[in-house]
Amino acid sequence: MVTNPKATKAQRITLIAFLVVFLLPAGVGFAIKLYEFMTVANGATSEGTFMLVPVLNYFIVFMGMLCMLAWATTNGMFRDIEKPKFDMLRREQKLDELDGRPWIEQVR
Amino acid sequence: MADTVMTDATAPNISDSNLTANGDRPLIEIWLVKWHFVMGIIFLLVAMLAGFLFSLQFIQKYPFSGIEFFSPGRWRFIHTNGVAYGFIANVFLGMLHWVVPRLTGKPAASRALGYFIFYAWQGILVATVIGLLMGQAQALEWGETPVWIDPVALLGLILVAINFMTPIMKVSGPLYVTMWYFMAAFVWTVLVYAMGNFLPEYHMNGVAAGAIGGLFIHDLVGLFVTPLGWGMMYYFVPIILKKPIWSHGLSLVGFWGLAFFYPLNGIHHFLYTPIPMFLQYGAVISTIAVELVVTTVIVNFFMTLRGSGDMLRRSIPVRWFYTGMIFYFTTCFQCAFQTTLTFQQIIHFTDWVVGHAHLVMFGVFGFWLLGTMVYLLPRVMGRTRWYSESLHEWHFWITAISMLVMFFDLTIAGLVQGYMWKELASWESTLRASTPFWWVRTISGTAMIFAQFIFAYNVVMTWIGKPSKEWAKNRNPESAVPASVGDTGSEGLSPA
Repeated sequence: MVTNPKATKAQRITLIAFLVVFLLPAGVGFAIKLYEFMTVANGATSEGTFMLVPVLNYFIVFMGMLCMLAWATTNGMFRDIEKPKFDMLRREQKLDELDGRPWIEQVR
Repeated sequence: MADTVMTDATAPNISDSNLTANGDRPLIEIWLVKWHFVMGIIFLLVAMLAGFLFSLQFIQKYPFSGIEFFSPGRWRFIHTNGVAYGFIANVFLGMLHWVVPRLTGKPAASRALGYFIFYAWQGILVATVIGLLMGQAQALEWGETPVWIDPVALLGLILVAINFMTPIMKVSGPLYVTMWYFMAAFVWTVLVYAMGNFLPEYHMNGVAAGAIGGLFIHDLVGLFVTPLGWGMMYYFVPIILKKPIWSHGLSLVGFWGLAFFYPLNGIHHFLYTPIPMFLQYGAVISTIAVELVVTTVIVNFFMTLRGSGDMLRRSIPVRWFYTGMIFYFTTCFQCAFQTTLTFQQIIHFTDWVVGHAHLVMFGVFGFWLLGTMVYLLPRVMGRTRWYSESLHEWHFWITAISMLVMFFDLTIAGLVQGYMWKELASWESTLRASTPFWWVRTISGTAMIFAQFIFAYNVVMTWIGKPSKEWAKNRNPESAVPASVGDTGSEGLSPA
């Protein structure tokens, strides 16, 4: 039977390291570009105001994802963050056994 | 070798169609999985042959010169659209009919809708091929589908979203990462298709329409194919390796990173154009950011493989998946560099880009879809094993080697062309320099097509259930199941 061991120290450290080292600088760089777009939209510079429609397409997607992230966070989607991967395997095991297929666990 | 390589799950006497949801309708519509796969293979062969025809034009061997209906440019549209909407979309749809019900425990929203989508999608594809051959292409890269087909195709995509979002939305509690990717893909694909096909056609023109075109090309890869592809990998890799993904938290970092950084990438297709530089730089930065996000995904999958490396040798689906992942990392790494203005000075408009596109669409997503079909087809056809394991070996190795040859050939060709253009060499001399590379492209493409015919032959022989010599040789006399499959348990894992 698939069990739910807690995340290992290595997994936690890797997760935090990737968040800080990769996503944070990427996010900062991206935020600067968004600020530039806002400046153009406010009319501080005339360069490329005609390009705002294409950029708005991005913002529609971005705002949708932001709402989804807020919904997921407030609804506890990230509370026991490793749980879904065990639930998924358990379901597969059950389905395979119902289907008469042997389920042989490998390295956990 | 054949007796150690597993390609299918053992399913003695029981078909998956026996699984039911709520005791009434089947959890999975096996017929739809199977026929979407079959149609995907047919369109793959057609699209590849169209690509082969088009490649002959470059080496001045095109057999239908002067016949408008067979104009090489039209065959190119059939090549790109056939791969995207005929092969990739069809196999994805088949995969969704298998994965979503199993992940959620609920069937797709409507059985009738699933069948309607299947027939409607094939109709749209046939109409697209006819329209393109009649010269009705829309002037939009990857959106050449005739304008009268666009609204119908968009309606089809909305119906697909309804059919598969319904069971996902019924799931309570934290969602597995695959479902996050799938949900995002359903919404994004509809938005991207509408944006790319309608805005430049009816509402915009000039540079702004060009920028939308760039967003459309890349978002089709990043917001349609990529989330479905990664969602698929997060499902199949753990169930074949029989162990969970290394870090579910890290997989969510990858998902949300893709969600926020990807949508602005596309403008990098139009660097050094009249599009304002602040937008071009924005596209470069978000492209590099995506490469960092991709790193999290790759680390996660290779940490999952740790301790199970032997599966690369024993399981053909796992081999397709991980080869595709290596190619994926290669293309994203390449992308982070080639979107810089320095690289663009050399590679823009050259065959470098063609090599990159082939590695992404076929070397990555094509490989993942082939791996998925190798895993699922015997199950959905009610067979306990493939007709021939050896043919799978041939299929994999010929495809992988010819893919690599084509990629390196076109990459080098791009550099040669780029540097010659930079030095203002005459157009004729650059054509002469390119011709040997185009010959290699045609030859490697021919090998690639040959390999897919091998696969198609294996599918047909498996389907009709004709035993092969290899099967008889490996047969275990005490079992109804051949030794190579029956003795080693599910997915070729050794019994405990």
